This record gives sequence, C-alpha cells and structure tokens, in this order.
Amino acid sequence: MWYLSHRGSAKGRWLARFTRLAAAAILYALVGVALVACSASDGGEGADATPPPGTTTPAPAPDAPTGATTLAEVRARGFVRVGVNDQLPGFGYIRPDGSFGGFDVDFGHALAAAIFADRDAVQFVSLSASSRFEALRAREIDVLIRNTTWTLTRDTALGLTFAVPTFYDGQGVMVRAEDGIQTLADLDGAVVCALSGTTTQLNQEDTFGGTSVRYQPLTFDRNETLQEAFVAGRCDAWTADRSQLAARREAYPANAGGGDSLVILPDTLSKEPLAPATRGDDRQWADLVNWVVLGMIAAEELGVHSGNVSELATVPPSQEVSRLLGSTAEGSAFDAGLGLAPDFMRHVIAQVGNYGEVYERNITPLGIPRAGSPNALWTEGGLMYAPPYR
Amino acid sequence: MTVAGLPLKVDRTPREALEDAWHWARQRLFSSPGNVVVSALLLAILGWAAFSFARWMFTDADWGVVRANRRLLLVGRFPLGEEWRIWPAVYSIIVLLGWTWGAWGRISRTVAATLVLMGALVLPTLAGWSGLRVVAPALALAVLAYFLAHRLAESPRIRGKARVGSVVGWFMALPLALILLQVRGGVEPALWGGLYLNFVVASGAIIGALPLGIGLALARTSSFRALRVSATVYVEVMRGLPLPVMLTLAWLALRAFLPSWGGLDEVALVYRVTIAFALFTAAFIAEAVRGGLNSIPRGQREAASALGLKWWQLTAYVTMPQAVRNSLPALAGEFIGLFMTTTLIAVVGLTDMLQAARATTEQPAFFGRQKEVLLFVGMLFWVTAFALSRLSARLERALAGKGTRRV
Amino acid sequence: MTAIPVRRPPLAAAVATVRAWTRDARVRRAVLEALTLGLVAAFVLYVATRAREASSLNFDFMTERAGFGIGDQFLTQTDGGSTRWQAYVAGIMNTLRITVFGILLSVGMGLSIGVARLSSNWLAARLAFLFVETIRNTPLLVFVVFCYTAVVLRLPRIQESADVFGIAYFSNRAIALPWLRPETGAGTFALALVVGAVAAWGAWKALRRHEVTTGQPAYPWRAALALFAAVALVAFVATGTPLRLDIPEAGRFSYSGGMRLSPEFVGLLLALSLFNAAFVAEIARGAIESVPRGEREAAAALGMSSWQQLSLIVLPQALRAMLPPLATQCQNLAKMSSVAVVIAFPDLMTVGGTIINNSGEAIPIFILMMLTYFALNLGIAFLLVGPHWRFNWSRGRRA
Repeated sequence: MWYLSHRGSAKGRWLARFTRLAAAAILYALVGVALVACSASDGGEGADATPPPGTTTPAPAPDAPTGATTLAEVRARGFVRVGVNDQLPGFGYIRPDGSFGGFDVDFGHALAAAIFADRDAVQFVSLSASSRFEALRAREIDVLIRNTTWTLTRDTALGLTFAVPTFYDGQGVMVRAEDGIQTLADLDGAVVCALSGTTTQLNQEDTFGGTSVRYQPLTFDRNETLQEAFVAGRCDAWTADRSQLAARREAYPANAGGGDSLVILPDTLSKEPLAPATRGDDRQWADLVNWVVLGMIAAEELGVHSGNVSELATVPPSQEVSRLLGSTAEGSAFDAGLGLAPDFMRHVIAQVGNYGEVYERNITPLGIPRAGSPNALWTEGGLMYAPPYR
Repeated sequence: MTVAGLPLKVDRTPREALEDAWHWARQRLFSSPGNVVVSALLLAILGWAAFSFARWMFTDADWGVVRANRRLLLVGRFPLGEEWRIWPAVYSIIVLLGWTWGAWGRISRTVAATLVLMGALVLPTLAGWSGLRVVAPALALAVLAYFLAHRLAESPRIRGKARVGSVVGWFMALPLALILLQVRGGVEPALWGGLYLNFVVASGAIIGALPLGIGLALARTSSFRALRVSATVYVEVMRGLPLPVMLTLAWLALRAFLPSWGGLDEVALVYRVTIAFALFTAAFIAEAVRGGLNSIPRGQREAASALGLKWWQLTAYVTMPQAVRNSLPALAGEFIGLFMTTTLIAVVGLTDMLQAARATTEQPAFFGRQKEVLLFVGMLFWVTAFALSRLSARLERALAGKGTRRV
Repeated sequence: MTAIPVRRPPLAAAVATVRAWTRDARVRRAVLEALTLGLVAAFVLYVATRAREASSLNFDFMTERAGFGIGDQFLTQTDGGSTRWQAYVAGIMNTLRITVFGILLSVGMGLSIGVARLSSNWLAARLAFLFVETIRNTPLLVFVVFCYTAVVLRLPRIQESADVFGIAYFSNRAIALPWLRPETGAGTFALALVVGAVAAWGAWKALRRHEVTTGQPAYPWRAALALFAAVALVAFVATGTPLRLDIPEAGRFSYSGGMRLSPEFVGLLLALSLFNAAFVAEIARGAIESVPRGEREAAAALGMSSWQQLSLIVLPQALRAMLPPLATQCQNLAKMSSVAVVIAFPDLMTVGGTIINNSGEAIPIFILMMLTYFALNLGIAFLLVGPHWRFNWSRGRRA
C-alpha cells in the first residue's frame, strides 16, 4: 500500500503515508472488533460451565448451580438450536428445498413447539458423528438429537445427560444378497465397513474379537464415502445401527441394484438406545427435553393425536389428558414445573404429533415395522413407557 | 517476404504451409530415432486419453449433478435472502482481478484465452442462464476495469497510483467478506459453506497471518538473541507440523488453551480453524518477508543509521516497504496455496466446496456421479488458482529490476 | 557527558545513574532480552498450565486395550486386543510406508518430468508443462478424493478381478502382485548380497580411478554389475533358494499370498506422488537451468551424446543444487500424507484420531503426533541433505 508510492513531494509524502498507515490500522482494528464481537455473541454466557474439550475432566457435580441458563438463553435467542444428522434418510436429512426432515428432526420441532408454540422456531445444525459431542459442549447447539447411542461413558466422562430413548436400535450387518452370506460366521475373512467415531467400530471388535472369525475392518469418516466404497464392492459387509441400515437399504440407488439386492442379517450385535442428549450441567433443560419426549409417548398412549388435540383440550376425557394438555376446562391448569406454559404439550401434539405419528411419518416408510419391536408402546409389548404425568 | 528476419512467408500457399509444418515436426518431434519413439508413444497416449475422455464426456457424463447442486457447492446452506452479504465481496474480487491485471501489465493472449475458455465451460454449468445475469455485469466490469487500469498505467505518473490502488483494494476486499457476514445480525458460522467458506477462511487467515508474519520476520532478523531464537523456533515448529494435525488440534484441543475472557474460548469452530490457518500461514509469510528483508543491501541500513533514524523509522520507512514489495509475488503465492489448502477443513467436519461435492453423490438421482462433480470442483479451483498465479507472475515481472535488486 | 558531578546529593546521583543506564545501549539490550525471555517463558508456562488443567498428561491410557482393529497394516500385527501403543505404532508404520514409497515414486517421476520440460521434443515439453500446471493449481485433497473414489474404487470387483497372466490381480479389494517370500537361509543370502554390493562398489571405485588417471576405458559400471550378479548367483545357489516367488491367488473375499496393496494405500500413494512429482519437476527444472548453458555446449563440442551431457555434466551438478529444496518437498509429502484420514487409510493421524475419540485424551495424543512428525521430518532432512543439513539459527540467508 503506502510503500508502493514513489512519487510526490517530500512534505506530502509523510502526510500521505501517515493517513494510509492509519487507514490500514483502522481496517485491521475493525476486523478484529468484528471477530471478537461475533465470537462473544456466539458463545453466550456460562463459559465456565463447560469442561475443556477432548479431556477426561469429570462432569460438573450434579448439584452445580451454574449453567442452568439454556432455557433462558434459548428464550432470549428466539429459537432452539438442535444438532442433527443431515445424511440419514428417515432420521435426519436435507430436503431438496434445503429444509431438514426426519424422525430426529421432528423432535427438534417438538421442542420448538413446546417452548415457543411455534414448530419452526428452531435451527438445525448438521453434525458429523465425530464432531457432535464437541458441538454440544461448545454450546454451538442446545440439544443433540442425532441418532446418538446412550452409553455409560458418554453419560459420565463426556458429561452429557440423556433423555429417554426415542428409538431402540441395535447394531446389524448388511450384505449383498448375491454373496450368499447367511450368518456372522460367514464373514470370516470379509471386509467389514463402519463409520469412525461411532460405537459401531468398538462393537464389531467386541463381537468378533473373541471368536475365530477374522474380519478386516475398514473405517470411514463420512457416510457417503462408505456408501461409495460399499457400492463399488470394496466392502463385503456394512455394519451400523439396524435403523440406519434399513434407511440406507431403502435409499440404495436403483442403478446399483436397489434395496432388494441387499440383506440385513438377523443377528443383532449390540443394544443401541438412541436418545437426545444435553449438557450435564443443566438439569432444568434436561428435564424439559426429557418430558417433551415422554409427553409425546404419553399422548399416544392416551389416544391424543394432532387430529383430536384441540377438541380434547377443550373437553378432556380424563384427568390425565387434562394434565397433559394443560387444559383449563376444570379450574386452573396443571403446571408441569418445567418453566413452560401449561399447555405446551397441546402445541407439540397439534404441530408435530404424538410419538406414533412421528414414527409413522418417518420410520414406517423405511420399512422398519413397529409392531413387535421395542419401539411399540408398552401396552403392545414394546418399551415405550411414559411415567405418570402428574 | 520475411517477417522480422524470419524466413517465414506470410502469404504461403497451402503446399508451402504443409512443408513448413512438416519441417517443424521434423525438428521438434522427430529429430532422432529416440525422439521418434518418444513422440509416437506420447501421441498414442495422448490420443487414447483424449478419445476416452471425449467418449465419456459425450456419452456417459451428466452434468446435471452440478446444475442441481450449484447453490450447495457455492454457498452451502447459507440462508436464502442473505445473499446480499456475499455479492459485494464477490463483485469486488472479480473487478479487482481485472484492475490489478491492467495496472501491472498486459494479459498475455494464452492466459486470456485459457481463462475465457475455462470460464465458458464453468460458468454456464454453474450459474445457469439465470445466474449468468448476475455474474455477467461483474465480468463486464472486470473487463472494463482491466482496460481502464491498463490505459491509466500507460502514463508513468498515474501508474504508481493505479498499482497502489490495486493492492489497497485487495486489502479492503478481503476483510469486506468477513465484515459483511457479521453486520446486521450476522449469519451463524454453522451455516457458512461451499466455495464461499473456502474463500472466507482463506481471507480471514491471510488478514491474521500478515501482521503476525511480518512481526515474525522482523523478530527473526532482529539482533536480539531471545527474540530471534523464539521466532525461529515458532517458524520451524509450524513448518514441521502437518496442517491436518494443526486443524484437528484447533478442533479438539484449542479451546483448552484460549483465555476465557470475552468468551474467547467459546469461539465457533470456523473461527478456531481460521486461527489455526493464520498461525500456520504466518510462518510461511515470515519466511517470504525475511527473504525480502535479506535482499535489501546493507548500505541502506548503514545510511539510515548515519542519518540518525531510529530502529522503527528505519523499519517503517526504509526496509519494510521494500521487503514487502519484493516479497509481493511470494505473498501472492502463499495466498493461492492457502486458498487451495482450505479444502483441508474437511478434516474437522466443516462442509466446504469439496465436501459439498462429495455429499451430492448421496442424492439418489446423482448416485455415482463423483467424476463429474469432482472434475468440476477441481476445475473451479484450477481456474481461480491459475488466474491468481499468472497475476503473481505478472507482479514479479513488473517488480523485477526495480528497487534494490541491483546492488 | 555521563560523568556524575561529585557535589550532587546521593539521591540525585542515583537518579542520574539510572538515567545513564537507560541510555546505555548494552543495558537496554539486556533489559529487552530479559523482557522477551520473560514473555516467552510466561507464554510457555501458560500453555503448560492450561494443558495440565485440561489433561492429566500421563500416557497410561495408551497401555489399555485399543478396542478397534486396523485393516491395512505394514509389518505390524495389531488387532482389537492389542494396546493403544501397538495401534499407534501400526499407524506410524503406515505413515512411513506411504512416505517412503511416495518419495521414491515422486522423485523418480518428478525428475523425468523436469527433464522432459526442457526436452527438445516439443510434445514432451508441452505435456510436462501441462501436467505441472494442472497439478499445481489443483488442491491436493481434490486430487486425493478423485484418485480414490473415481479411479481406484472404479477398478473391477474382486469377483471380476482383472489378472495379468494369472500372476497379478487388480480389483478394488486389493492389488495383488507376485512377491518374493523369504525361506530358510534368507538371512545368509542377504548378508552375501551386502558383501557383494560392497565389493562391487570397491571395484567400481578402483576401475573409475584407473579410467580417470590413465584415460583408458575400464568399464567400471559393467564390471561392478557383473561382480554383484556373480556374487548374488553363487550365494543364491549356495544357500539353497532362500527366496521363493509367491504368486497371489484369488479367494472369495481377498487374495492370499503375494504382495497385497489396499485400494486406500494405492489411491493415496497415486495422488500424493503425482502431486509431489509436479513440485519436484519444478525444482528439477530450476536446478537444471541453473547449470550454465556453456557447460552443456562444451560437452556437446567434445562429442558427448545428449544422454551423456545430461547424465555426466548437467544432472550431477543439478542434483547438488536441488537437494535442499527437494528435502523440503519430501518433508511436505510426509506431512501431507496425513490427509489419509479422508479416504480411510489407517495412518498415524487416522489412528491417533480414533484413539482420541475412544479415550477422550486429546492433548497427549497431539503431543505424541507432533513429536512423531518432527522425528519424521528430521529423518528426511538428515537422509537427503545429510551432513550439509543444519538448523538455521543465523540471521543470514538459508544455506
């Protein structure tokens, strides 16, 4: 800049140099201020509450009073930030118009409806398997609903709190039908592909490690690379949560043989309860997330769905429905104590639906039957069970 | 009739032209038996490659994957209606390219032809005819700026100003992109993506790296041992570390080292990655500037101290201006390299253009179209880098023989 | 002027002394040096403290069970039951493998492309130029992803693998090549080879000296090669065929026998060495051009063929000039091999990342990775530039 000028009188040069120098300095100062200002607004408060990343620092003591601000933060911001998957058909994916859809995504909408009575007061952040916990701890998101398995160490060492599982899954193995693989034992010597940063990678070692089956592991960092490799014939088997495999199978490109050319083996390698996760330092927020999910399960059990919710809210058929929907038909509304309006579940059910509706909308098209699976209501032999809403 | 002493006839008959061509081929392709073999082999390979590429291009290739995903490739999931934050920076960069080129010299015909050809290949696919309406004015302005600057630079009095203007312009345009992303509510860093993310990270990093790199270069050439040694250690450590490791460090561990005041340790991933790029690039900039400093003859320093100039005066008015000017081509090279290495942010899970391109093959309709979309992305980077590198070569030529090289 | 008047009171004298100090260049220098040292020390202390707060900084977790397997290994045998240290070593071996082969390939290709760029053959020069320009203006990662997903993965499946006369197979499961398998007596044979090589080298030197001093052709190369071949043959027969040709066989899921290269390795090697070759070619071109033209012309005037000019006059000088930049470029290759994580090749960085993911111990792993890459860099610099290499502490230009 100033150093490139060679001409001009000696007097004017000093002045010109100074002005240009000052201009440059101001420019840099501006950029600096912008960066700092943005970074400050980006993080929000409660900086001391999150443990440093990538460490084994134990989670803050459960009674720590700090950091109970997520709800206030969300309210002040005007929307919830939800970390989701963007490449898993059925659970979290981007529609052609750029919006998000899927089972996990609908629970994000449910949270928005509960807090703001507006299902669209939500922003979805797409996260990879290996960056999801870091994003939650860095407060880049408020809640993680991204087909995440609830495990002990994630609860303790990673300092997370999990809500009730939204989906009970298990790890399965998918192979090509033409290869004639029937059981896990047939996989001796085969190349088994998985995603890195997932429990899958460890489970397969747990499963095969003790047996005589020698498999060759191959671990990818992104799903699309894995699929490319699988289609090309680089892998013989693809291991992941069964729901994911079903979704992949459903969306398997027709020009690569279509879903019918693939088989999911009957063996289940592990338990994978998928649950929403929040930071461990904010019980109020964790309760809120938990009870929105439970409320949706309870609604299904009580026969409340998006079609009849406004009707039932005005004329509740039972005390339970009345409490769930916060109706004022018989005196004052039941206050759930979650820091939300009493009728929050009414908005959730009206705008998103109950658990069954969400399942029907997103999972059934993948061809994963609900009846007889752990994801059925407890009254139908499943594991979906909501504690009393009182 | 001969042209400039060459025995070439301008008004050649077809027969003569053929003879000339044969003569040329005899000399440049088939001068010895060895050369005949090499040429034949290369011709065969070239023919085979051209044939298979053409066959793929005309029978198999389907560029619909690029057309359908152009928004994803360019800006990722940037919110609709917020594009006004992007256009000013893009416009000023395109126009500046024209202006800089005009101010520093004439664009060679080969380069211009290559750029036009590549542009003609890339733009219609990328922008579609509707998008072309938005890009075309910028291109027209760039051409206009080129001719204007070229015209202005003909006069030696204005040439210096036009050139200074171009450099100042670049220094203004790069922060512009970042500032526009912050003002009026701003756009969440999580929503930045595509080619624009590459660009934003590269400009943010260069803005941070320049002052740091200049400081490091000064420290490395300082007479203070402690300063010199620590700067040397910094530069060598950075040059010895792989960038992917640096980026992963910024991703997983940098927050533990950032001070907590002002929420600095809560900074979003994009910023942390940009910081990592800046720290990394600073070491290379320091080396470039140090080279520039070393090229300044000793006599100038001695003369300056004889005149009683203090150290900072000597630096600010004598050595640094020349050093930075001498190292401008190297700095431009650093920026090009930086822009291309920003594709490495894939390692930390951000979706830049390359990752957006990889993700498109997830879409059932475009399954197995990796070749098309990767070729396209490569070509886009290629055009940008090619234009910038030619520009930097132009700078080098314009600066050569000037200033301090004659001792 | 700094002399202190005797009659001043003690306080004023002290003030004057201090003032004199502040003007003393040596004192100012010492203070500034101390200040810099203090700042640097404070920074190091800060970083160390924060690291200590964030992590226990002990490496006990590395002795725990890794829990994940590594598919592609080089000279190591690691599985899920091994310790994390063993997994890490497997990662190091993979990085070393890609670096060594990458350097060999890229230097070979780069030298020939650099020579081709200056060739009198128009087509060769143009193609070399095109190659260099294409690669240098494309990001490495685009190249790596392209080589893997659009080239190597597009090889036929294992069921339809292409074979070359039934001894080598190409598929996207592996590239299997015939290889020599050591049998009993291989150690003795290797020893004999070393002895033969030393003897051949000695013979070459002696004949060469004879050639130079007398001016009579003594054919040092032919003699040395013949000597080496003879020793090798005798040793081979004497030790009773210590090496057996191991030809790969196609199985259901993979090949057995031979040397098997995984697609990830091949893709990464291809991309890295092509990429690096473009930069080596530029270095080579610069070095060749730095040899004065007159030397070549003089050689031509002496009747040397163009191959002799190149191999006897130009290249020996050019090689010396290109070693330092070549070493830097090879270090770049070693560092850039860490992009392996993007295409699932289990190198140092990939394995390190997995360990971080499973153990949560980010900082110790980063310390380990930095040290490993530093050691690798130093090793490359030492091997290539050897005794000429030294750390540049001076202010002057880099040697």
